[in-house]
Amino acid sequence: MDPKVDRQANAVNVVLDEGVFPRPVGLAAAYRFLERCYVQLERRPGRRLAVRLKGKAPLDEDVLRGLGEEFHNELVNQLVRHQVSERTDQLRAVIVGRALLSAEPAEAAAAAPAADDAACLDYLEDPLGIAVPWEEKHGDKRKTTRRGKK
Amino acid sequence: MATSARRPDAGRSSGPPPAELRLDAEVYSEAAIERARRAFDGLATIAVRRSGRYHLVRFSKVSPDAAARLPDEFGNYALSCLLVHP
Amino acid sequence: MTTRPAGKVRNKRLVPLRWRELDGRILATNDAGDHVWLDRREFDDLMAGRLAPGKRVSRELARKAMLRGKDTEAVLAARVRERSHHVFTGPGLHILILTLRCNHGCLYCHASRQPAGRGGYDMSIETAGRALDVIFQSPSPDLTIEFQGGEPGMNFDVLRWVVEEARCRNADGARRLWFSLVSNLTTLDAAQIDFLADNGVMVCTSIDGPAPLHDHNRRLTGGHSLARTLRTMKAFAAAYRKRKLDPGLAYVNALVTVSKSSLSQPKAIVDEYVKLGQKVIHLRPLNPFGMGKRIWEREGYTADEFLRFYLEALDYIIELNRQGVEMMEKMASLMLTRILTDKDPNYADLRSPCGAGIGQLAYNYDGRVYTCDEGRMVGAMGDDLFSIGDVHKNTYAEIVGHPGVQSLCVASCLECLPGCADCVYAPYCGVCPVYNYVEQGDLVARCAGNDRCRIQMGMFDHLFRRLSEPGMEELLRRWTESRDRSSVYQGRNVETPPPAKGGKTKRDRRRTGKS
Repeated sequence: MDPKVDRQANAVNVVLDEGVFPRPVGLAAAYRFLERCYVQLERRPGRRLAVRLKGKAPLDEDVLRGLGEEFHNELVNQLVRHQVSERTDQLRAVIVGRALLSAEPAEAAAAAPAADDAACLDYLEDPLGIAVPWEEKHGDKRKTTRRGKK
Repeated sequence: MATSARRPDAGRSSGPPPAELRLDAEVYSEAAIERARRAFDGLATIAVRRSGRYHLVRFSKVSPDAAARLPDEFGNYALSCLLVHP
Repeated sequence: MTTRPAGKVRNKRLVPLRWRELDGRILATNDAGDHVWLDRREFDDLMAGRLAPGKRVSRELARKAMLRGKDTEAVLAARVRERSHHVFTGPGLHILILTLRCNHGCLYCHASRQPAGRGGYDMSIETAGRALDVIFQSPSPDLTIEFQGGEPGMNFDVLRWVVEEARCRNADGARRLWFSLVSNLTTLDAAQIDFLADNGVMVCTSIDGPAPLHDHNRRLTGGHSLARTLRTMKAFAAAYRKRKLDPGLAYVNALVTVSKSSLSQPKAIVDEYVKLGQKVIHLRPLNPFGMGKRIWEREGYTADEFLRFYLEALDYIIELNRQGVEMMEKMASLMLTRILTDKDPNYADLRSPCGAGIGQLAYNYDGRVYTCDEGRMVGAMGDDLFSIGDVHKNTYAEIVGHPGVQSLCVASCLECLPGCADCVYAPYCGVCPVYNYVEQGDLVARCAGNDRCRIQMGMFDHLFRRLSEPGMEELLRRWTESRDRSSVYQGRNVETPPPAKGGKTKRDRRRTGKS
């Protein structure tokens, strides 16, 4: 995974193993370099992803190599973030959902069940319409109706 | 690796020569490419076609001030679309 | 490196714990903020399920809901809920930037100040009225309107109007209404001081230390900033006395912004506060926002330099306490409240998720709304990432429904953040995504290399070290016992003014643009 400097292209190339760094991790790391570099990705055989970081201005070899090394660090950062995010997915949904709901306007909050009541609700009641499919809420009403009749 | 290359047809029109960008379709979704195409629409005439596992993005009638960076900027934008609109 | 148990975790009675090795011992905490100290052997025995039930540490673990027993989950859930009261209330803090003008030119000013005489930077009554429209749509039962600037005292007419208008709008007493003024106190006259005292407006000012240090940091045309601030503080004390208010409740708060010049004089700064009779000192590090970042190279310092200063000051205050001097440090007091009690002080720096958009909103002088004051400062640097609306164009629902609010909420939910989720101090701490964005280019902190994290870790480490000393918990617990100031600041209210002649209310006058 050593960075390979391509001076002619003013770029550094890194190839990463998607078995270690899953695609979302590689993408997230690449995203962090968009302001400083032109970034292009390409899949390689054997679950590998090639990443090219090209300088927006001419860069010398040390700077290019440094970019590649920084990219490695960012991969580790994003990998941990990804793992923690997956592990705490449900917890985040509960805390953030509760906090955002509490900030809603006074009238909306009054209409929503109180936290204590919410614990007693049958999940089938779905007062906030969470179970309503996205298409039914926001999509073409005719299509939804037709599908509903089938 | 994806490439952006000047086509050897310079001089055929008064503007900068068309350029082409090749993006791996196994990484870049069609939706991301289309979002980028729409975003860059005012800066060039952009044609996208599929060639094997690649999206070929061809830029012509490029506005002179954007010519040098357009394919690379397009690539960056398409990459950001992958994350912002997965 | 994280401490690991010697063997496999086999103790089926364990509830989820976080731990950290500190000075050769292991500090463990649970989600409800209980903590326990273990030696290495006890820790390994606990993890392996070998700890004898009769041992002192076993009894302590059971008492602190770290070992599962009857109803443990229910008890923990109730306590976590109490400690997280802030996620159930909505935005209660509303910061009004009454003006960007200021008569000071402080070395570390981060509020993008404008010169005192420059026009076009004051909040108008029309904008203030629209801000109140937004504020009163918040579901929070407590509404605190905090006046900031620049120097908010330089737009006192609008301050006065907001106080009176907010009281009119709350005539039915549906909300508990609080007002707070953050001021350098050098522009207020006697009538204005009387108005603030009559209306229970809390006042907070800056005192950076002895006059040479304060006046060096906080430059005022004509000099003598500290002397002028102290003169006004005395006038407030007299006004409170005249109204027979309890001096233990009615007083001007003060805080220290720690500059490079402060680092060598922690004791002198504390002594200055003791001399002034202040019971609380708040030692705040410089932040990198706004103008502060541009002058960071000249006035900045490392996290370690700040920590050295802070811990020396803290230890000195504790020593003064032992000698009978009543004084506490505000940040430590808030941390101790999180550590030693289940109270939720709802302090923006120590809550998860942070308050941005869901606990507070900042209204710029021109009506733009930001997630928080820090976000507003980033806006002053030319980056409006944290702007979530405009009182002239958007409703409250649109403002709090802005995607930026959701992003900051997710990015500050530290139970779910790398480096924080497993940190032993997670039950007490909080993160600032705006700080992370400014310092690390990302809303989510990379704890390694994050100075804010380093400072807070250092503070928590030190507090826990001190708490483990014999008799120290009793002394420091006093720092968590804040007196309820509502009798002075919340209930006070000059009578709701009658409608103006012709039946016009203040609200009507706002609409016609006449005050």
